[in-house]
Amino acid sequence: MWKIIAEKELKDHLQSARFIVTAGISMLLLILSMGLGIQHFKARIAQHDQAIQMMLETAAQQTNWSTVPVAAYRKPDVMEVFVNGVNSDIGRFSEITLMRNVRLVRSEFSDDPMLAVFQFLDPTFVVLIVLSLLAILFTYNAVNGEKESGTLKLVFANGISRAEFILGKLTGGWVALLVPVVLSFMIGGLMLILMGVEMGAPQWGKFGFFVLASVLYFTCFMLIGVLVSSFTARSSISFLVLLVVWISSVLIIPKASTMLAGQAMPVPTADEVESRLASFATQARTEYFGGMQERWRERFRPTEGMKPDEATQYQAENRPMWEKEDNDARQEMEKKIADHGARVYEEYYNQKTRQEQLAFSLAKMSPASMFQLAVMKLAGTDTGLKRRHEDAMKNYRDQFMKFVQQKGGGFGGMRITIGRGSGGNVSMGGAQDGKKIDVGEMPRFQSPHYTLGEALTASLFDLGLLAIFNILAFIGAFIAFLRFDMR
Amino acid sequence: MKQQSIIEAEGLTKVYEDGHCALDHASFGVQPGEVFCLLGGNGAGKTTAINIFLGFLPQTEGTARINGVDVRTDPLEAKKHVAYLSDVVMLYPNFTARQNLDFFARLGGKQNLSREQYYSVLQQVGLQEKAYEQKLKGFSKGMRQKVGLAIAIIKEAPAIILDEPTSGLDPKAANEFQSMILHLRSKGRAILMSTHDIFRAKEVADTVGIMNEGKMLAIKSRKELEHEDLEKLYLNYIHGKVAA
Repeated sequence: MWKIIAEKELKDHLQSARFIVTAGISMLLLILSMGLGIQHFKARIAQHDQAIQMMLETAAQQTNWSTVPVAAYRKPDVMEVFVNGVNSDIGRFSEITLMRNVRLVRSEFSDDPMLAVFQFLDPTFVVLIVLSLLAILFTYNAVNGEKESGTLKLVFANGISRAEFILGKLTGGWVALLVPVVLSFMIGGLMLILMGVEMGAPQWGKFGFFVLASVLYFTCFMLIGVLVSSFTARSSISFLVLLVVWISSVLIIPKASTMLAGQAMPVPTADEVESRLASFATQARTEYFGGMQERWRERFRPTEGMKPDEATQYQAENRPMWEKEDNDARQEMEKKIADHGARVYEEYYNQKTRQEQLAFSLAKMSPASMFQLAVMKLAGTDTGLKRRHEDAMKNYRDQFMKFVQQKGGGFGGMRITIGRGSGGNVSMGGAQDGKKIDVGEMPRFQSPHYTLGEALTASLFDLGLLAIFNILAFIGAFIAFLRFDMR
Repeated sequence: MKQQSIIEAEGLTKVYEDGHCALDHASFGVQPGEVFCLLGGNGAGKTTAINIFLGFLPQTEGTARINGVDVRTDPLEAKKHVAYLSDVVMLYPNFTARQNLDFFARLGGKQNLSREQYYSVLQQVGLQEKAYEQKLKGFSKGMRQKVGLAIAIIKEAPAIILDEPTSGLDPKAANEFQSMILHLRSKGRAILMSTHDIFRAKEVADTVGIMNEGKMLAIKSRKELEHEDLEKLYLNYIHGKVAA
């Protein structure tokens, strides 16, 4: 019997103008968002490659490794096509210097605030907003609408149980919604291939799980729709209730959670942290230079009364020792700054992580937040994106510094020579033979790999929560209908 | 010799949780080839009785049987023997008349009926041929009621329950509908019909059950009503001028 109901439900939806219009719009938006996403991704890849090329060309003109302007560029990932996440909020590159900490700068939103105003129309947005609304639109009168039109009594004047009816109803409605969604994603997958986007097995796997998460999400709203429709006598009331549920889930709970977490666990801004670090570094450098001044004064004291030749000889004899002393002092200052920076950043990230955890835990009352968090973690465009890249960039900075030192230069190779009678001399780096550097030797920054396994591990909890929410909503809808007054 | 009733109520009572008694020990029976009209105003208990027969409402006391099957103990089996039509027959507006018929026929256990068989039933209820494959969203109430009746006919159930079926129909449509009811009676169906339309009840009923405030005040056969003014009788009953 449930199959007859499911078949009827499917046919009823497919033949309705409401379905044709709304499913058509959803399909169009999904396909359009994927098309735009692919174009945007390809443009970002081209920009990324061009930026690296320009950096290498500039570097190739240098004769000293220590003066090479190095930056690490974040390589776009194809999953951004589906889930833009925080991708546009965080910087695209970081300068690699000893004097400054790694910090991703120049985000897309900071470069083009208009994008920040309206944000991206990515498939996640379409699923989050449009498909959930569509699910509500199709189910708000699933049960009470049948009562209003008298068909519920007509159906139950036959030998059919309530369980069979609701099962058929849910199945038919679900398949009707599934068809345009799956079709759109299949077209999207085809577009990826046809538009020459490289997708490896892990990316296809992530895409598959993204589709699964989307299906779980709209199923959730569909079940909530049936649940509310079974609880209310009139479809106009259930529509209003569902609208409130939708607004709360999609718009209010996620934002309110972030604000509440911000109030409950205040965390300094990145600029405040930078400012604190800069202030500490300035103080450490002032102390270092003060110490150096004092040392030089002490070093020159014995030369007072010496003849210039004797003084020069005295300086020449002692210079290796002085250089070692200066180098040790400088290294100690740098270590002090680096250690302090590491401590401050660790503390900052710990605070930030706790705040995020609180915000996300509160937000998980809403299926919209569960979906968003799950797909962002799947795609790697979650809040961890910045941390993963900055960590990789810090490692790259260490690697690059070692390389420069090996090449006889280095940011640490600043040499100040002050001599009586010979004037002052400040030089950077090591050998300066006038020969241009070979950029082919330069270590390159590799964006961190975010494997399918990591993505699944990260998103499994949220996907599981979404699945549990579905089960609960299904049980709720089922029980609510079993108790529904059909008169 | 009196036949066994297809639709049978024995001391049927419904008392709601708030103490309101919607049906008070009502007893009646509808035999094959009989049209039994439950006549009464709003709140008389007509629809409550029908809701009990269809399993939408559990009775507090008494027994309701369809074709001998107790609706309380075996509702699904009981409903296999009854066809139903209400006053609100919107049906599925995105389906054509034939598709609506097909869906309800399959629910009623009639699988694999041909298009011609559906058309034949639609013709029988007087629906215009051009409307067979038209979506119901453009149908008048009269046309929808015909499709509803076709749904009741195609099930070929021995019992038919009609809840205010002519309510809201124009006189022509109501007359056509009445003819169909009489046709079904001639086919041996037991028809239980609720109405507040005294004129219609007198026209179509073999037996009239006058109800008021949940009580079955009187059951009168066509023969008994032949020389009576039903309207006067009805008013006398509900105003207590005649002992129930």
